[in-house]
Amino acid sequence: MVMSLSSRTAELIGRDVPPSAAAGAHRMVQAAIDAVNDALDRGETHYTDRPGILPLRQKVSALLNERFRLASRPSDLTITCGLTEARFVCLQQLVEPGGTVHALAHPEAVAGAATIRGAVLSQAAAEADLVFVPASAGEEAIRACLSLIKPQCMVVYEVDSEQETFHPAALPGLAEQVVTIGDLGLDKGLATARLGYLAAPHQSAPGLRDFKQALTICSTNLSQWAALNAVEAL
Amino acid sequence: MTFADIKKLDGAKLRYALMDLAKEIPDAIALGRGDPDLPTPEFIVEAARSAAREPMTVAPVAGMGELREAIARNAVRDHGVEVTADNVLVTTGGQEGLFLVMSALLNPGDEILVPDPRYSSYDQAIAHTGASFISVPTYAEDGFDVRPEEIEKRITPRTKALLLVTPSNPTGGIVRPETGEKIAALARKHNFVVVSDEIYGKFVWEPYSHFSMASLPGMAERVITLSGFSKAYAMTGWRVGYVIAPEHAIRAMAAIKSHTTGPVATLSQVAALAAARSDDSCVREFRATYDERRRILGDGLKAMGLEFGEPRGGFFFWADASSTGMRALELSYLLLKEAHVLIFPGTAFGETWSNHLRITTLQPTEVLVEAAARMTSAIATLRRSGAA
Repeated sequence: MVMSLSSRTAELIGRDVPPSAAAGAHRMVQAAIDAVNDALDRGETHYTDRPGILPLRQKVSALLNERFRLASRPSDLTITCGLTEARFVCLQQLVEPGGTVHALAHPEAVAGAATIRGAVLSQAAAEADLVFVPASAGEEAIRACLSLIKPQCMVVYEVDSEQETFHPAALPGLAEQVVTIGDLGLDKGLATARLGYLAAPHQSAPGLRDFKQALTICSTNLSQWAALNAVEAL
Repeated sequence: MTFADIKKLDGAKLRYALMDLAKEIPDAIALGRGDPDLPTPEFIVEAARSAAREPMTVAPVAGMGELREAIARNAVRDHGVEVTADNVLVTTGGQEGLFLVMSALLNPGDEILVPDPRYSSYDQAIAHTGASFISVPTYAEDGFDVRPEEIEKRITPRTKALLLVTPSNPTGGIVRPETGEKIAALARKHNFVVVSDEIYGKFVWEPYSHFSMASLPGMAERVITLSGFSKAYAMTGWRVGYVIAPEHAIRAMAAIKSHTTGPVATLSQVAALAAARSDDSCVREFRATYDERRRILGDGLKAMGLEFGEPRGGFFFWADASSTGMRALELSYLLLKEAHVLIFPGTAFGETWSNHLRITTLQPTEVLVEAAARMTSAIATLRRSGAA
């Protein structure tokens, strides 16, 4: 072939991230449909602010704070193109090339992003510069994992749809090292809207926001308005 | 943010900082960002409304099959490029497309040639691969077309690709067919890939016309074309772009895309499909509107005493502000603070362009007239004060 590709592509083909949404058709709840129509009536077809529309950031931030007793700020929260982009941005921005990533569970969710960053996956949490911690791993396993990490290790905590109230930022010394990521509106028929979020410690937020902007500028305008009207819980 | 803070910035960060400042000025007129102010055409909006009422499925990562087919058909129809849906990847805007292309092509240590000035939002995508970009100078006297000899001088064993944006953001220059043919010969001789961002391709002004690099003989296998719906159909917020490339490259980029953002929002793809299947009469109407604005803003800039070449395509003027006696960054800041008009200084598009301004035509006619009047007044005051 005339066009040769980068070495990282060979490692990625066939290692697609499994979809987080169930297969099949998704019907948006009426509140989301109404929001889409209202947004179109208002001409909401342009770029939004790169971190996302402010009312949605305020809402997601409030929901996170209520559920996990955090002190997340809308200004430190970025709306992403699905959970996939939230994971990807964290992996690209919080680990240096050659760095080490440990996944407490579901390593396939971050393996590709680590490859693109030039980072390596490790079985040992103690070696990691970043640990990926899905809530589905369970509080006990998460506590055990995080008891092993290095002092400056970043933690990406992936919220799932269960009404978990434990959050690793509550653990001693970790408040400034945990980035919280999640999907938005899967239970409201918004899987096709491809919307997620990342809530970062204050010092990490600008870099994450800048990287997201460089990747996709902003998230889909209509999806954000649909989520604002439809999402009631994280 | 103070001017001292602004002065430390360049590239995309500088642009975003100025946009943030403009948000604090209620009557600011934005002639900065390349976001068409015109509404998305109603038939596209209606397609989205209809789709929103029905159940939808999450699209494949590479894009909805029908949309990929429609994009391929249009490439054949408009540019004579022989491609099928398998050569098309739907992306979350053109920006993600560029990131995927760079990730698929470049290894650490590779070099990519980039005409200067450049759309600096692409810098991150290049830097992220560990490759480096090599600036290729362009000149006002050429209408900012690229000189093939300037490209050839910079080719090394590490050269992997050339990144063209045609029509150019920020200069409004285009790559003319005769230049394209010489570039194609260089690409074949030195075995590099041409990445051709043609997102402004539907807006090339007479007597010039757009042609696609991939349409040149033997180039389909070594050209990656980037484009999208944002500019042509006033759909920036829908976030739908696309890449056209050899099939093996599309497969690789789709694999990468499954890790970056996954599929594009289905509603946006439905809307883009309506656009792609249209007869483009809405684009022709947009063209007439933008062309009129280009003339009005051009007249305004001449009245200010700024020097510029007529843009050959796209939405931007690239004007030399040396005659004001003030550096473009200071002048942009002054125009924002005093005249409440947001424009971008040249250093947002290349470190050496400290005398240039990028000014968009993306406001209604009456707003452009008002912006020009404010800028004229501010610059006249500046000249009277002796700075000029």
